[in-house]
Amino acid sequence: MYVRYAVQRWSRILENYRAPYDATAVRRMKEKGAIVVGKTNLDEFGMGSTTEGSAFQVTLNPWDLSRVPGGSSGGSAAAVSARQCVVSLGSDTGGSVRQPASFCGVVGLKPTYGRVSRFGLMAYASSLDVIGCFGTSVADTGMLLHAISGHDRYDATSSKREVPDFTTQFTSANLVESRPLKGLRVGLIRETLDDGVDNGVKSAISGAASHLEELGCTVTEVSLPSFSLGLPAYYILASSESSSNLSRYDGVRYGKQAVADELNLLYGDSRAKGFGPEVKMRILMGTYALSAGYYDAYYKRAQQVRTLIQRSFKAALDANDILISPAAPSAAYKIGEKKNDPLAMYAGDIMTVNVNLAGLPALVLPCGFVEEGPAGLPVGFQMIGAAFDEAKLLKVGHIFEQTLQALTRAYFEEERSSNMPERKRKAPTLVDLCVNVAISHVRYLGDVGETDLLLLDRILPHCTLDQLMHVEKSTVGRDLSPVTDKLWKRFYELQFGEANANLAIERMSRCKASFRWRDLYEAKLKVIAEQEDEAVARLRQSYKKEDTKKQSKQIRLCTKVPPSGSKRNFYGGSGPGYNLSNVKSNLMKKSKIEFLKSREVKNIAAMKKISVPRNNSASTVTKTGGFPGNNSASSSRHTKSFDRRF
Amino acid sequence: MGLPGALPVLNSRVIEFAVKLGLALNCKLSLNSKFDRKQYFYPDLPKGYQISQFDVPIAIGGHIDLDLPVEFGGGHRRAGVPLLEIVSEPDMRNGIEAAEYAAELQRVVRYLGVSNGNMQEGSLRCDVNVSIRPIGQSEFGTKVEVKNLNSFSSINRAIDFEISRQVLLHSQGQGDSIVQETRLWEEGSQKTVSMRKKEGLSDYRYFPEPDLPEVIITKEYVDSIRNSLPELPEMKRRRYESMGLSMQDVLFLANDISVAEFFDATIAKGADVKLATNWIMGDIAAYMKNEKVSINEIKLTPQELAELIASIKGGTISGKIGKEILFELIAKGGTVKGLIEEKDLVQASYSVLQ
Repeated sequence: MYVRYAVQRWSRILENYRAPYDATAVRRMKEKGAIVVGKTNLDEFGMGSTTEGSAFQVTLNPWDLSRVPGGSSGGSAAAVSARQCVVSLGSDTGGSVRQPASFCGVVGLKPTYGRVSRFGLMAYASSLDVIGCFGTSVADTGMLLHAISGHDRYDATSSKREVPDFTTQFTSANLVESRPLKGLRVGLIRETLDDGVDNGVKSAISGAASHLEELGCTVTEVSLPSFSLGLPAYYILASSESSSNLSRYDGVRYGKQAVADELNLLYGDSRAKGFGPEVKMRILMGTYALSAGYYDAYYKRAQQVRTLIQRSFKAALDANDILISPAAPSAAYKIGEKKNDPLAMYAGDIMTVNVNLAGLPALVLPCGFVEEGPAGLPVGFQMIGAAFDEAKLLKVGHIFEQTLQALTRAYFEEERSSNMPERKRKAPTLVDLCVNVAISHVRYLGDVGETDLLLLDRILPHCTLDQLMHVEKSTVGRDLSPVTDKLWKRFYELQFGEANANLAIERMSRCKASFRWRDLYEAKLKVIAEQEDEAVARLRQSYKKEDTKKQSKQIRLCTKVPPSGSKRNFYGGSGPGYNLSNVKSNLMKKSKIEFLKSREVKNIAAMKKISVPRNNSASTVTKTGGFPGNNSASSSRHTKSFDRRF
Repeated sequence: MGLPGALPVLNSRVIEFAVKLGLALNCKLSLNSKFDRKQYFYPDLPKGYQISQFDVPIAIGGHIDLDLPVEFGGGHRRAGVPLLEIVSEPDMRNGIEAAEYAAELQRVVRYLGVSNGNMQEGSLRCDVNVSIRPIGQSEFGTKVEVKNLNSFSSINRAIDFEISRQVLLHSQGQGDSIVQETRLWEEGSQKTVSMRKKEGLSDYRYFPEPDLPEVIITKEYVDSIRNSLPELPEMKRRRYESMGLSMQDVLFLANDISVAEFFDATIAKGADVKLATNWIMGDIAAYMKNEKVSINEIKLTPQELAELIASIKGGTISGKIGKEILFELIAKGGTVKGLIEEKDLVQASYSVLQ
């Protein structure tokens, strides 16, 4: 079982943070006797659809280890899918329970907003966040939901509605009559089968629809015209709320704090180092959408769209008992496939976000497979019900599952055993046990002593880069490179890309030398560091240049006091002055004095004085502020710069 | 306190207090109001935002134009402590007016029991905004905020200082150097000093608080609170005035809710209004001032004061002896009858001679 709430939410900014309390959902589970076996991985703060956004690990899809388990609650789905636990919890803001359930072939339930207390769930988008359940069967999932539901005085948005006992819905498969769902009106959302949805997914969904028909349902297509608006509205609302919800992670009271001597730097650095790129992007988007002048264009319109979506769901659910759609436009994709293309990743949420905007409950359950990966990949379909009617979803889901399960189970068993013969059950040897223990404690490994290389070959691939470095450094007097060289090559490729690795291989073969990959890795790091230093130096240089440029400009402004009297008068604004310091010879001085004293000059000066605008405060300052006239060059200069500054 | 995963919960008492205060100040109440987030970073603001009412406050447009939003304070000592904010229109022209206004608000919150209203404890806080406007000009000048005012006299003096500072700057043609800023009142130097300049208008990025539902109050709820409102200072003063008391007496008695209650209880026991006033404002007030105690801490009960007044009026004891007994009663308690008997103070001859 899975506890994430009130713990790290897999972000660096909360590294080493331990919550002083249990989330309400976790507390209720424990009170009912549940045994919590661990926390699972997820995208940082639930922002992502692949679990690649975790600050710590990438979770693999148990159906195909080269694929993502979905996200954000991918760890919870993978854990249930790999049967490491019976049920698990996740959070669903825009599909983070349902999409991974589909990718990992398990049951995923998103309850109605308000059904389960959010107290203890680190908020991503408060008006959309829901705690959801994963299980291997609909019955297990329903039991878990029953355990955690209900009003909580610590969450003002949790509903006071009574929680029905969902577990009474589950009739055994052999008691099911021939058409148990007779009369149930099912609406297939037309917009969810548009272009952009994989054919394999489409055929699995139509298979599920015909299965429902066999069970007695009437399946009709319904249209939700505002469906496509949901995705942009969702990303605006979720980012806006998250930009606010995440502002408490400032490194002041808990979590990772940067070292800084100034407050804004402390905030900035703590957050810059603590948050991952996806989180930062959403904070920026949200802050932008809420800013003055943009609020109406983004946030407000998104809220209006939300109202439209709620209305169209209401109308569709008045005409139908449940609505169905795929849970995701495709089955699980490869790790890294959409990592650098956020828009493609966001687009994958199209099937699920509308349900969050409407606050409705939805159940995802496996309905078929597409022929990809070693054992086929599961496809899930989504059933959406009216608010607080999880009971109906669970009932329909259970019957669907019970009548379809025989088929799925057969597929599951057969594929697993034929594709992974080495996984066949056999008592492990002592060596295997030791190796397994070593692997699970690989982070404590230091000096490996005289351990056989063959064993190390099995253990060390489980090290992270830092752990491997530590092992090699601690193991003095022994060269581990026969085992570690290929590991270092992998790190090299991961860190610097395959192109760079190939380049290195090419260079080595060209000069017929062979270096250890670890040395190559370190050398490359050094080169990169140097390059960075250079870039920094360059930047610093250009800043310096800018600075001196600015300064020289200022100096020029100050020194540009013109020696000629008439011009200065203009600035000084108080008539002709006896400024003679710039006049060199006595003769010149004399003639200048004569000139300045002449009637004509005085008249000109008087005229200028009148025409110079005097309504600015600076001129008043000049008069009252102790800068009488401009009898000397220095005072006139002073006055002038004063003038300028104002 | 802004821990990860923690959520805000609205305290229903806050709404009750807000409605009470809104009614007491003759505001228009909105039956539906909502909360918004006001966002900024500050070390004593643990969540990075403050929950406030931005565009739909619970009460608006009061007696002297009051605006009353509910706010969850930010600061570390006041984090999570609900705050009722009363915003007034620029209606006051000098320090004394503002201080009087604040004092009246203090009386109202004390009468209502919404807060103890102690300024030195921060239970009642006041920030003032001061701007000057030359005669003939219609728009207000740049407003300057002054914080750290923890008494009515500092409100008074800070405003008057701020007005003279701004007028001086203006008259020297330095009107430009009056900038929008926050200043602190320094009690020591009796001056305001600049704390921080506001660079333009801060963008608080308000948006509706998703963690708290809308506040919906019913008309019946409002009416039930309206009916349970106590007598407010203004009404009390009018009543005392109509009893024939002088303005000075009225102001003194109604100033402190506990004094007013003591007085009301005394006259309810049948004591003469004028005499009761004189005793309370005279000897009792003097005692309280000397000993620095409140009227609730003295041993004298309204019942005994009424008894004492009746005894003097009825001629059982003289005024002089009454005074002596009074101090006994204040300091030690007991009953008037008991004391008279104990000390054998009955002025039998006096009454016989009469």
